[in-house]
Amino acid sequence: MQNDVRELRTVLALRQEDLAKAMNVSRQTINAIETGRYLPSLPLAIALARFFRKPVEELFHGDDDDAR
Amino acid sequence: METTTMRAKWGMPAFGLLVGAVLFAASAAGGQPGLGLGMFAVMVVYSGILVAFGGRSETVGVLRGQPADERLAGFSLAATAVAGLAAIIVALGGFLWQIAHGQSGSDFALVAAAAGIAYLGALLWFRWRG
Repeated sequence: MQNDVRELRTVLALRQEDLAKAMNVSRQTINAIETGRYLPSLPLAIALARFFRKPVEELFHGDDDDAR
Repeated sequence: METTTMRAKWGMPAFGLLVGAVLFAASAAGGQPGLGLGMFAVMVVYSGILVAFGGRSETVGVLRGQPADERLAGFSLAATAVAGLAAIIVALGGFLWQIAHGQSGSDFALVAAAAGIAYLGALLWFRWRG
């Protein structure tokens, strides 16, 4: 599972700390999500999608999207 | 708010010291004050580490009982499962060792039975709830 969290965050010129505070999680958790080491829970994924005003399936997408 | 912060910061270190004091009292009552003093010292060091590094380290923060986000809570849950599994393996190994040496193995059997019943009970509870 891949995601566009880092790209969208940098577009908004936000630091990991800022997004972490908005999501009520630690900076390390945001970093782990961005690097794909941690798959967030559904509530957190939805909260991130709402924050970036994107559908969840657009923010988080499978590795095989390009192959289809 | 302030009370919650104070509890998160000092609750577990204070509990660690309390456990150390209880260990010392139990050892002293059993005629082994030196052993009790050693265990108390271990708990003092542990509590000191919680106080010194709780604000800087995520891991120590979890040990200190600070509010954790979902990722750390998941790690804590997985670590608890690993610890439980280790305890069960030691209990079963100890039981086998004792009965193989002609002893009853009742001490280890009690721990293994408690772990098995707790696991089964928890499984049934979560299955019923979910």
